[in-house]
Amino acid sequence: MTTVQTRPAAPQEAPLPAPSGRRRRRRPKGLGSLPLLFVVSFLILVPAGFVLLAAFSVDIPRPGSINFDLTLQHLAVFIEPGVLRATVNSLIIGVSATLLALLIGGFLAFATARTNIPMRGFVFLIGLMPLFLPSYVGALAWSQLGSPVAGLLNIGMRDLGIDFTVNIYSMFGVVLVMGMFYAPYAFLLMHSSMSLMNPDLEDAAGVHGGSTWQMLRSVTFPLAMPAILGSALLVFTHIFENFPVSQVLATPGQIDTLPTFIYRLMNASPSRGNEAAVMAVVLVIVVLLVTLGQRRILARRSYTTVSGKGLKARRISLGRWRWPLFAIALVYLLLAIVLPLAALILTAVRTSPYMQSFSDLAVPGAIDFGSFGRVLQSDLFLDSAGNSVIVAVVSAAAGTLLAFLVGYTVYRTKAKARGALEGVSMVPLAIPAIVLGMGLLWTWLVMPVPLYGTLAVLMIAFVAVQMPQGLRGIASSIQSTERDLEDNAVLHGARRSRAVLSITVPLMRVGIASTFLMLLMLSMRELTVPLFLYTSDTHILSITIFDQFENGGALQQAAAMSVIYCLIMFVLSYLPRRLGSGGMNP
Amino acid sequence: MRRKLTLAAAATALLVATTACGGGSGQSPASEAARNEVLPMPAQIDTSNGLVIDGEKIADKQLLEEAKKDKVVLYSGSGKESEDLTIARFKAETGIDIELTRMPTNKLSERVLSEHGANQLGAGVVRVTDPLVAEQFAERGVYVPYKPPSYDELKKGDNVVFNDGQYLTAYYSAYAFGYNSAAVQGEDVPKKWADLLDPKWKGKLGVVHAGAGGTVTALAAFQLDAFGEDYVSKLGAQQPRIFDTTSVQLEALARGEITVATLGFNSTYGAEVAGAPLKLVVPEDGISGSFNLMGLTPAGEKSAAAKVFINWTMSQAGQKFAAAQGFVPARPGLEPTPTGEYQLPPADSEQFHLFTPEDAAQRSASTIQSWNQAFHFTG
Repeated sequence: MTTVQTRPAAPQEAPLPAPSGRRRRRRPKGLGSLPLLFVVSFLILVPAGFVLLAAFSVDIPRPGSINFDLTLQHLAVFIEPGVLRATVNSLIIGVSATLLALLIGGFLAFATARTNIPMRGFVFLIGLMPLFLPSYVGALAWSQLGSPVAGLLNIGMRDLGIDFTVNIYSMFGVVLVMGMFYAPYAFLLMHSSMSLMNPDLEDAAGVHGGSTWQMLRSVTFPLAMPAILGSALLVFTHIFENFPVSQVLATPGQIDTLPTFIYRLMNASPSRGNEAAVMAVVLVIVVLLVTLGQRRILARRSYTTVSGKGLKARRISLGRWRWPLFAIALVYLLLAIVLPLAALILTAVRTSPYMQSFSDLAVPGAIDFGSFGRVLQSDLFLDSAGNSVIVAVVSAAAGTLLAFLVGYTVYRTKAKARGALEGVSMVPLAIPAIVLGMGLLWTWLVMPVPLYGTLAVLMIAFVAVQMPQGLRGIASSIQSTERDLEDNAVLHGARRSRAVLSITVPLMRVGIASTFLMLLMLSMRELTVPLFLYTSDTHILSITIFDQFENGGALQQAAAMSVIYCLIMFVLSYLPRRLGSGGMNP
Repeated sequence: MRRKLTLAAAATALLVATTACGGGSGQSPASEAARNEVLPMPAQIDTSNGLVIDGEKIADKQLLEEAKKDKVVLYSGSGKESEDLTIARFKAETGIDIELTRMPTNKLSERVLSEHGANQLGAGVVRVTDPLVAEQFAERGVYVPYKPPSYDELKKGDNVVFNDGQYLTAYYSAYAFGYNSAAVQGEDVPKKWADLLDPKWKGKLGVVHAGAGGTVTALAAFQLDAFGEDYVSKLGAQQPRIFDTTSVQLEALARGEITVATLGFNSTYGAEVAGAPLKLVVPEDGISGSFNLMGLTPAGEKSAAAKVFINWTMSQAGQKFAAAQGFVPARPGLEPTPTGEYQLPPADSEQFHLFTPEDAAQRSASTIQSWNQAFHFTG
């Protein structure tokens, strides 16, 4: 197994920002935010700068051949046939799947945080579980389930004599899978916001004679707005630039999306990296505009819901809807977890990939569980699994810390750099991972520090790439946490750092824990960025599985490895849930 | 809460157990196949004075001793299944350690040029499937001249040695078609290229788009040259499922999602050996061939193991193993070696239509464009 690099990831070395905020008379405004801005900019803007340079330079800016001969000719890519169609497809998929994810995530968050749905703990787990199944693995499982000819669902229906064909290689299929596998992000963000909501406002609505529905509409949902908008932005941009799911499900149905189009440009021979970069730059601009719009909407009002007073969010009685709503949650569990995992397990144990009827499985020798044992004993798996866990834990911890520092500076201080800090932090969201991966490769090859080829470079890359997710997670928590308590401590003579550590951080522990959990899962799942950065010594699980599926023709081993991969993610997710046990468990 | 804790403990125990039962044997299925199934091991491997396999000298004593302490670092854009077999066989025949990083040629090229530019290219040997990429590597100095012991033999062939040995053709990839042997049997089995136009295959064909890499561009050029634009249009009208990579297509063929597909010979044969219900066809009206090129890097110049790898690849033993896997040997004058039940034509046969580096330079773009039009494909 590859050893961990002793050098800690860069963000941990970031100096603490000098929190200014209410103490601005005693501290120069925002000076402390400058070093933070430098660190974040270095992590994010240098790779992005390479991408920008690539968009407008004559040659691809590789180490050793960087020049500044600029041109606008790559813009011609926009008049290529197919670009418009791919953009429209991406928008349709992005919007529909985001709505689906918000609907699923919002429903589950509301049901577990605010209602008396049966088995709330279990429903909470249902909302979380798809996190253990990376969207790439989920898409592969669904291609096994729902491909029009040999899909397991279709074989099953033929067996039962039902004349209906599921075709997952369609717009519907892509939206369904994206929506289902991104719903947990919406769920996590909305759950922490809804469970921390101060019941006073709702009580007031009740006291003044409002119905439950009126209360929800005029108090609860508006208060959850930062979380809803935050998750919508997060989920939309994720889906908008998701490459693996589109590649596995949309491409076979001849549906081009922007990421698959960019991927094809990158993989054209010779590579058209310049044009891919041009398209990426436009994406950056679009997403920055969306972020700006979101800030504008949220800036108008205060959404504070957590204060020093004890609180217990009200639970709404569902009455006769309890069990039907529970059944809806079960359907989600079936589609997002049970069926995909069953398909993967079946793929892993079938001796022949070809199957016409489920009765084929009854033939002696048709099933062999040995693939799990072989995978578990292979050096490749053991090395990759070890590397994955190390990289994910370190980068999630460093990422959460950095996100907290940035989030605090942006939302709690008057630092001049805070607008820039937030803008820079959101940039990775807008750059397709496949392009940013290349920028990161160039950056760390050029840097005079020997990090390339080590696990540390993967950690740094993950911290940079996941900065937006970390910041959004922290932001929705920080915005709903009352600042007066911390300020009171400072007024009574505590140092600001002490006040933050002993008051704000504990108040935000749920938000911090869910941010850490989210980054951990994202790191475990991250595929596209490490695709450019991994070397033979730094294989991680996602890459190994991708390689086996995409390049290796080793479907059986890859399916077995995917199942074990999900299991590891499941185990890992317990750590942060223990940390934030107060609020993470409903 | 207690139940959750118990569950967490059980799951952690499982994770620890799975990680602890490690120290795996490292005996992959590939190494088993490389030893026995694909081709029996050479009759004679003599290491008493250097490395001599079946009478041919691969390395002298000093090179072999240095190589044994060293490790080959191979970056390859060639198919993963075949590279796994090749490195396992190399290890078995020479006893030298080898490590593979595999990714599609275009992605690999980006990576290699970037690493090379930063003086951090770790690979000793780089293998690619696109002549244009190899030429670019040569121009940028990624490849350095190296002459293996079989150099004089290799010089006798066309397009085997480039720039006085800066890079070599390791072997040729053959591209034809195949079918799912569980779904297609007897009279239904297609034999000629024209059979793919049979209406019964409408919607059941698979192809990889012509821009996906050197081998598929070569196939498109072969189809255009040999059967004309009309054939390609009609093939497009069959509404085939279009794939981005051969491996994913193979998987769909094995599952029966598609029934017939144009296929790379060696990767399909590898899947067939591994038990997938696939059969290949060597059509009499021609198969398409493309280049598999390799060269030594500046790091490889200092690596004895990398040199032995090139020597072995171009030796009779290495070329024979490539042929047994479904490649066409580049080294001229060798006895034909069958690929299982199939026999591929030699490189100089009329049946073998090679897409030369000149073709690649002059015709790649127009070929891809024609293909895209015929298949209504954007990319």
